[in-house]
Amino acid sequence: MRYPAPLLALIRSLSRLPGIGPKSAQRLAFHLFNQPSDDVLALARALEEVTTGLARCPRCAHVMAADQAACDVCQDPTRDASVVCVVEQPADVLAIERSGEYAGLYHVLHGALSPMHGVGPEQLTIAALLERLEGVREVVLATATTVEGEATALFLAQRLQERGLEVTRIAYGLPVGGDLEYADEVTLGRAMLHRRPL
Amino acid sequence: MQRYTISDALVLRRAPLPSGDVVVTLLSEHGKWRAVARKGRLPGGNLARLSLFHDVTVQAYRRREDDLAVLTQVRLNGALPGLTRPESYPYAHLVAELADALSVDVHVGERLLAVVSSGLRGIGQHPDPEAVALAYAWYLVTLAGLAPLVHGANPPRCDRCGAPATVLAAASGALRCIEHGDGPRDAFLGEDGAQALAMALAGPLRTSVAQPPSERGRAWRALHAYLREHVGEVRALQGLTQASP
Repeated sequence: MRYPAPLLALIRSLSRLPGIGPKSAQRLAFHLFNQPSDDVLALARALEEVTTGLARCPRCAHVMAADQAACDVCQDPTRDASVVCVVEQPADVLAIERSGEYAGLYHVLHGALSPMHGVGPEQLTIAALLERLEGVREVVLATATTVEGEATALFLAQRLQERGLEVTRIAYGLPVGGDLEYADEVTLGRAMLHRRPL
Repeated sequence: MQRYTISDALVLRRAPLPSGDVVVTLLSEHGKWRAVARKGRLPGGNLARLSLFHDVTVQAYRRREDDLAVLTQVRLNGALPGLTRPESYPYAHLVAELADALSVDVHVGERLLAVVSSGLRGIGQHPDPEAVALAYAWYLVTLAGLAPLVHGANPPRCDRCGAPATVLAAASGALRCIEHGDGPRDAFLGEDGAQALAMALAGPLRTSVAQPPSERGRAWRALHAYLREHVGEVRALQGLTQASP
């Protein structure tokens, strides 16, 4: 049996989302079909606004409302503008903000260096970062502790140190509440290497 | 059918998903395979050890109807921290991507894991990672049975006229003189470059690493042109050919 064309189009669109296969897309499509039309139209409007109502902050490349001149963090006069924290994704900004331990500005790279996926320095917002360093004293590299994140941090560290900036990297170590016995060798080795006096 | 398997493997590719899962491409002695690590992006868990280029022992579960195996346990055997340096990182990607591309249609055999591991170790530790990457890239192509034809030695000669070879005729897959090349898609190497390529294809790895081509840019462009014809687009090479003079 063939699906009606609108249902087939919806299944195809949903299955292009990351983490959603054809079966999940089909389940979601039938779920939406059975919902009240107001709810489905509200979802359609929200999806439309992702393209029309959101933009990248021209300073830090974080996500912001399209009608804003800059994102909330960049506009906040109480933030320390001499420190910039570099992260891979907008979600990382939110994670660091939740920690409540950082009061500087951010810069979102929108990825990490991965030549095999065609991601080089030109595909990230590295040029924009290097252009916004006036008045900046310290750059905190908070890319992920994966191989890709580490390579991106080392690449940026080279470029930033050439400009005489203080470059720091977020600390490596054991997760809070974790037993040493269950830590892997790399994490434990780095925790020992970067130990600090109490 | 055995549902749980334990294998030693190298992480060739890693694709994190927004759901927190990670799809990894693993290279083990039995070949290349893909698996999913559920919640592998969460730090602290044993599945978080699936970093790129890491040497791991994995336990995988697979039902007959599943496309991907599900990883249930991961033990880290060794990491290569030297590969994250900007001097070596693009070359490590090249070797991993090439090994991935070469093992799609061709059964390269048990040696592939040993060659890729040794190539990555060399790239991480050698003072000239570019030379190691070039030598291993051509070695992998040879191992897959896709090496270009080399006629004669010291110097290699054009198989059509016997003149010293100066170009890699990418489409024909042979070292030739400029007159008998394939045309615009040829990669010019010069006599020295052709000699270095012939040595990389025939000689031991140690020799080709010790005596790399003097014109690196030409060597990368030749490799790129050849792989595009015979293997497919290798994305890690794009940055290398653009960066080389």
